Amino acid sequence: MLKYIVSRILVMVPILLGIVLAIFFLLNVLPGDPVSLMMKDKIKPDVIDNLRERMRLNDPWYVRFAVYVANALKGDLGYSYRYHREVKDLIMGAFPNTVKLAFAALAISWGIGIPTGIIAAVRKGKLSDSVLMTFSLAGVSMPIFWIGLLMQYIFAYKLGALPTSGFSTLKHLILPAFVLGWSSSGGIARMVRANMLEVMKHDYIRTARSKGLGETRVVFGHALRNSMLPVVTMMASQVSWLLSGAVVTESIFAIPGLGRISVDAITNRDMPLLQGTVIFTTVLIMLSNLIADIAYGFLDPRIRYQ
Amino acid sequence: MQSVLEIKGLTTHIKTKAGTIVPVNGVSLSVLKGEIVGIVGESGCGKSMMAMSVLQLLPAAGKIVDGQALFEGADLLGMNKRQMRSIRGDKISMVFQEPMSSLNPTMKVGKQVSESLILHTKASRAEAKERTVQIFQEVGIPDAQRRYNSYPHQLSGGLRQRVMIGLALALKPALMIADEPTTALDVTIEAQILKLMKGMQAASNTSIILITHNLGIIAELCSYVYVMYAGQIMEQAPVFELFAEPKHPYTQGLLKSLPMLGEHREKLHAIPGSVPNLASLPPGCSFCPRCDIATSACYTLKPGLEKISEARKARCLLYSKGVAL
Repeated sequence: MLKYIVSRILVMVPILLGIVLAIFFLLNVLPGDPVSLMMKDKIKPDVIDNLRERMRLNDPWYVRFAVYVANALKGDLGYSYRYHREVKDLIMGAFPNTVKLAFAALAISWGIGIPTGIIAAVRKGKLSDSVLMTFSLAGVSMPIFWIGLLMQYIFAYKLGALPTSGFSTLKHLILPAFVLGWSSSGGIARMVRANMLEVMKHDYIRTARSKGLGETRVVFGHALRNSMLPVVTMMASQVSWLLSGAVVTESIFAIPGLGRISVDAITNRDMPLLQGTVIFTTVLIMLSNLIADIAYGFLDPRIRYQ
Repeated sequence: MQSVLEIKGLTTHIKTKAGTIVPVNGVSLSVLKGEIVGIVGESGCGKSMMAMSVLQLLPAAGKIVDGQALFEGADLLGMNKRQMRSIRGDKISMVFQEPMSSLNPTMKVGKQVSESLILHTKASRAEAKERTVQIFQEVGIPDAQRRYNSYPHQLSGGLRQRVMIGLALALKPALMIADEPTTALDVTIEAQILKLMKGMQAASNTSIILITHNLGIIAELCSYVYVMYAGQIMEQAPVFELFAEPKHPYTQGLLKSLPMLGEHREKLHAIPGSVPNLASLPPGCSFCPRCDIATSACYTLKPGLEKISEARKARCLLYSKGVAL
């Protein structure tokens, strides 16, 4: 198992370097000069030259790439033109908000999705199955901005129970987390249900029943773990998606998270910030995939002992 | 002698897209204490469905519509779910064809056996584990202590089937139903498993219903045989009588299609045609389209299962007048 984890981590290094290179290249071919963006008119040419020199914009790309990687390894991701702050500080400032939102949303998503899927599978074809699946479908189908606005209208405007936007107290977390959680619970529920139904057809379920186990024991003791294997992959992509910042939700609820600064970086052509957020997100995605692989190993002994 | 299981007129329907089929059509059979009874037939003749009906483990589309299954005097088919659960695994157990897919891939094999012990005997985890290791030794699993913690994919096919047999015999049931227990195994392993089953059966006096398409296995283990075709019993006889003098044309065809040592044949006999589709059975005798000696009467009369000697019955117009359609 340890060997498996270490090999997974080692594979990540070249992938990460490749991605940094790709981002670096893409941002370099984009038109526009960061210096002219930063400077107002009527600034002396020597000041501009000086700045270009300091930002190493006159160096060839591979030198800048090497310097960037070397700095990044030391934890220095550059300096944001727009915010006039260290990229690292900006990311670290936004990330905790994103993490809070992401985990609250995940708790709701899995908390609704997994039991919904199980119940729907066990009661396949019954009324409860249809009701639960319709509820999930609604979550998947309605766009997040729409659910978000709807929730704001009902809970904040009409009922006045929860704040519309901002991110200072726990109360602020409830609406955005529910919106994100519900919309992503549908996919989980449908996947759990589909896998559960598939697994319930297997011979070993019949064996479990032939031992005299009750249906609850069959479902939770034998079917659930086997049904969760493909769902884990989906959960991992959900984790990385949420951790990289839920752009729409963060915009609707005015949450200062990673999604917001990424969008800001794009609209302002803030290259260092954009590079920083993309690389940071890449690492997050790779880490959540790693965790999924490890979870896979725990769930499925056939992978663990390869 | 006292019979352990007495099935009377068991009929099971399965709803399919092509309409309702009847994989088990009025089957009656009895199993005596400590006896090994064989059910032989081609794939799709309903032998597995019959076993599943007895334990009420039919797929959702299946339904038992008629008959009785008296187990130690009580009708299984009239029992509620809870009563049925207390019978399954404890009093009647099952061994399935594919040991790989019949064991849960994500659960240690030892746990899959001890789970059953805990359920039925209220043993503690430690007691159940100890007993499971003991059972593994009894069914000839080497290094039983360590194998307790193995997962199914880490065991060979033969060992997996030993686990299944250990599971089936763990609680010394009165009856074990073995559905093609050796079909997925190599011939050498097959012999070992059959020997094991016979040995275990002798030791615990468990009755066995052995379902197979392999007449060789029947000859080796069973004392009485039922030949099943298209959901019905075609012939039933003590094993020696059946092999010595098969009465039904279908049984005769089956025996003729066995290769024999020391006998020169240009070509192995084959029963023409294939297993009938249960959704569109011919009227009259269900075997007649494939039968060498079928007459026009076979297409219009349904033969009954007639007694032809003290311990034998056959369903053929040779021995019965038949019922007009």
